[in-house]
Amino acid sequence: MTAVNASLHLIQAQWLNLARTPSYTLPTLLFPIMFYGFFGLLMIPGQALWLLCTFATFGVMGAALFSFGVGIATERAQGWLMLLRASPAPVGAVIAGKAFGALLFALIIAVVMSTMAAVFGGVRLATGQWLALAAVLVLGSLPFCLMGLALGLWLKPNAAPAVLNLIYLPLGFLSGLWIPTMQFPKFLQGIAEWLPPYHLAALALDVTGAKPADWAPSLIHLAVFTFAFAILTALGWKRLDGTRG
Amino acid sequence: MKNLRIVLIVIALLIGVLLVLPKPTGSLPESPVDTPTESSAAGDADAGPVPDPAPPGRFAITNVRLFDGTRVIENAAVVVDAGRVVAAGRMMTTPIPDGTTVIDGSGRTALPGLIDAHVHSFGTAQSDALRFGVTTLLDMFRAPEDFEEQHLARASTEPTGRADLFSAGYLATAEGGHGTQYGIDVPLPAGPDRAQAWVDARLAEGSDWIKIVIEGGRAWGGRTPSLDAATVSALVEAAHRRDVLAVAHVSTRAEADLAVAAGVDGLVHLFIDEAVDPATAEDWAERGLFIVPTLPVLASALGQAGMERLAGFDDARARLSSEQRRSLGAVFPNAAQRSAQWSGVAASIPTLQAAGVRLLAGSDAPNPGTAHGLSLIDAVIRLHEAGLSPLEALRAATSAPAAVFPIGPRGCLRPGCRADLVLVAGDPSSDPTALLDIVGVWKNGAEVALGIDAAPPSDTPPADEPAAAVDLLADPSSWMASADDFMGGASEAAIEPMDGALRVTGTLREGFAFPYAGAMWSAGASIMQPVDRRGWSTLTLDVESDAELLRVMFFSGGNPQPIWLDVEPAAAIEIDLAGLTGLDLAAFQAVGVFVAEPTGAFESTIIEARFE
Amino acid sequence: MIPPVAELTGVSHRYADVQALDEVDLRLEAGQVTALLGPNGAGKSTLIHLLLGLKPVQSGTIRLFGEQAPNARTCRSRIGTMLQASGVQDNLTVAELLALFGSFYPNPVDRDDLIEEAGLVGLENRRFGHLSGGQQQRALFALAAVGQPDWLILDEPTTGLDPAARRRLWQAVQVRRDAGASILLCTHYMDEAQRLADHVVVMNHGQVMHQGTPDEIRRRVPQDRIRVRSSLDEAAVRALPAVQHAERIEGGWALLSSNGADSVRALLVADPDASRLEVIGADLETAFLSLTETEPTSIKDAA
Repeated sequence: MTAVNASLHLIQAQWLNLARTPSYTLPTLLFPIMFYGFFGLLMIPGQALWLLCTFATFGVMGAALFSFGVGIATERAQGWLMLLRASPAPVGAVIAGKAFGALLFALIIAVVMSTMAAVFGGVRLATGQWLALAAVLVLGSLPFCLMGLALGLWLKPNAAPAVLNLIYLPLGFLSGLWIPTMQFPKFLQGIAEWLPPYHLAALALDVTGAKPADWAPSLIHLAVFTFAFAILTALGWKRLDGTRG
Repeated sequence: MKNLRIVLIVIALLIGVLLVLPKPTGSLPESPVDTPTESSAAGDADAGPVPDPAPPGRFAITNVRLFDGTRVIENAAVVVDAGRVVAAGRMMTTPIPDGTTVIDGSGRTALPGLIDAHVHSFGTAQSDALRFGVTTLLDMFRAPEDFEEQHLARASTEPTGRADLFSAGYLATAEGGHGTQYGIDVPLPAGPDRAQAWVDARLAEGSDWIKIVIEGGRAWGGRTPSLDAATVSALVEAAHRRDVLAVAHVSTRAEADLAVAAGVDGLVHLFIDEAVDPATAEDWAERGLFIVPTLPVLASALGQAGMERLAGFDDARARLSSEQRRSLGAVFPNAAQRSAQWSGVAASIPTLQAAGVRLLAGSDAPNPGTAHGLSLIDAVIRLHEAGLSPLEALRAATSAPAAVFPIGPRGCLRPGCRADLVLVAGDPSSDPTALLDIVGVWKNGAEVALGIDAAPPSDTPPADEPAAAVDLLADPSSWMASADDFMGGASEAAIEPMDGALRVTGTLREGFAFPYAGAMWSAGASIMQPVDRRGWSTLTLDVESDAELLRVMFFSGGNPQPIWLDVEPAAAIEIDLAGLTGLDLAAFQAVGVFVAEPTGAFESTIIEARFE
Repeated sequence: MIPPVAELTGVSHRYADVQALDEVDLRLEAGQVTALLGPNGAGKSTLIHLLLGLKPVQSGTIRLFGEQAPNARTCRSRIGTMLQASGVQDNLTVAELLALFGSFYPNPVDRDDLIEEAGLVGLENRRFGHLSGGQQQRALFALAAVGQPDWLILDEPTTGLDPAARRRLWQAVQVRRDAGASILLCTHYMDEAQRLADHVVVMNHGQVMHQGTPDEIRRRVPQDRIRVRSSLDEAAVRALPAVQHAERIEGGWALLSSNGADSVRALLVADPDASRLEVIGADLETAFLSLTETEPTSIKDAA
């Protein structure tokens, strides 16, 4: 019971923290949304649906990476993570609280972008498809939460934002989230298929009907990726025990 | 945990937004895009071992100028799969799946299939329109017999050779009024009290909207009975109560005022007796009125010959069926006397456009001087000539009618739209006459043959083999029972082949303007398909019957009105085809042998029937 | 018989290049205030982290609350911690933080009493980041106490507090000790340890140097400082009985003696002109400094 109660309180604490730090929250949300507005709707007309799927993937991936990666790194530096670890709060509840923030970001990004696509891009989908898109994006951000968590545990706090950007932007580009991979040279297309955002975008494109996809390989890919980062996270968490201070 | 409640409310609101995001419009249960299962089955051909590298129906037009219904995108691509557009936009961002058939569209323009917002569709209208890139017809008066079939056809994304048809069905008019002169038995609304019942009956028949005729005949120098204002208002109200559009036929400013006062949603003609003044236009714009000016039919009615518009477009001329040529070549009586009124019509267009009244392109084909398909292109060109920008004129034939009429994702080239497209040489967004230079037309993603079924119509005599003598009874399957019940009458007929002859039984009853019942023989592979039979000169019949009078009807040239000849049953009836004025042997469709008198049960046997 | 809250046997911990703990044996009795003293780097923080399960035990055994294999989480729900340099999310208010930490424990205390006790009245709805240093320290103490823990681990709890606030915190610690709680107090302030502690543990170089009651500790070191104006030379001074350390000051000597009376008596015999004689008994601080300044080996000999 305390575990559930603690989780709810940690979720609430995360909510309050986000709501009270607009200087962090707004840019994290607005960056991908503006990106979609400029490129997805203004600069490249006629592709609102396709780019909705890929830019929203880009957005939820960023929210997950940064809220976990930079967030955990900062809280490590701050000593907050230490205090929580010394407290009886279950590890799962601590991570659930953080994950809630990332999932909420993902939902907001999915909804705002969907609305923009509908209002300014003329995208029309069945209600079930709008919901499925949001569900894919929200659940699909979980692997990136783990990736952010692992990186946040391994990286030096002040290096985290720079390193994450170094990973985030090329990963988004190479996965075809800005420009579809078929516009890439052949050797780059091959790379995309090994990158998790490509597979999340493929699922998003499939549920909206923009481009049919086979679910099994993409799901397997994302599952393997999730598993790999779960292990890195566990190792990173253990490593906290070993470091001084 | 007050904050936790706020969290839950925020999440609920976000999901709520998803629930109200717009769904695809469409009156029929059409899925906006393929469901994932269907599409993955279609799209995975290149992933699996299925030896089908290019799924049929999947193709892309690349390097093309794309008009998506609203705007022009240069250097674009459009991808079609399974009867739908799956991607459209800049080349750079438009995915073209492996194994897609690619059509290079360099220097060309891809447009949505065009929409004609005023036609009367019968005979070969739907295939004739298609050859000119008109993939959707909004019919403003026809009998509703085949609506069920039409509704199924337009809901399907299977390849088809016919444009999709939406229709008002029977029009609402006064007894003896405009619309009753065509031999179709039009049910009359007869007073305001009957309006709702009348509207409901139309909707039950499958009408997509309600058309009301307000036509006193004055514009044309005559007097015609017309519906009174109370009935018009009651009809509009009845339509709106059922959530369908009510549109009006008008010819004069006064009739238009009556229609607008009654609350109609649109006028399906522009009036000809005066030009629209800006104040009226502003008022109409504010009411949200739309107008289908039908410039081609008005031009014809005001003395401009339809054929003249085709000068210099030999390709387009070559694609006309005989029916299209016939209607285009026909003229309204006394049209030339009214030619001065055209300037007023033309002047109204920029006034309406400036005020913001929505203008839709419509032809009113196949009235004299117009032809299905071709005249819709003419309507776009004329809207441009009258003052609309080329882009506005193109929208009038694509996105504008799709926004007004309940016709689903048509008139657009965006993912989820129906794969109805036209590829033309040149750039209609700077010069709409480029629409006549059609390179290809696709309906539901399948390419449409641009040539007509019969030998290419030309003014020189045919060089093909002289049609041999044909024994009509050799293949009993080319016969069908036919009676006026098809046209709303009460007669009925049945046929039964019996060794080399055809027994026809049935009952002739009053109920249609000219009752008939009997058997019909189709010349082409399918019913009423036109074929070139210019080698024939005589029809020989041997008919035994207990009836007194037989009526032999010849259908040709797509004309819904047959040419007929009454004969008495006899062993050797010889009909000289050359003597039948109006018979178009170049596009011969069918011949029918019917009983015309007396009413009651009959039994006939066709012992011999032969064309020579 | 209540088991000790913690019992360490042969616990060693090594970082890459430093032996942080070296074969530590230690019993922390229940119901006592134990003060853990030692210079920076002595291994106190490592010891606390091991007790809290924040670091894995590399060698040796740690038993908490008498349990053979302590489960970190169940044990932690009986422990309240106030860690040095631990931060809190600046955006949360005092009340929100208390509710959050209260949710981690089975029986959180009444919030208002705790706020009053910690001197935070009127600050409940202020965000942590907007509190002064002293207020933050008090809030952190409240977080440690909110779960009514059996064992309070306080790492430098009074750093940055004004004298009044410090006394109030001492009072809070005593109240809990009197109620049966055990307290581990890590501090730099000897007066704090002297006043509060039932038991003092002095650590240095990863080892426990001395332990006992504050008086025992005090007695274990040279107890008197002697300052005197005298013309005796160094050899003579060093020859005085009980003198352990001699240092020249202006016009005379500063001496450390294990028996001030003997030394002074002999001094006055050796130099009858000696003047300005001062004898000061050592306090815990002197004792601590003296104990930790000495080389571990020599101390070991002494112990």
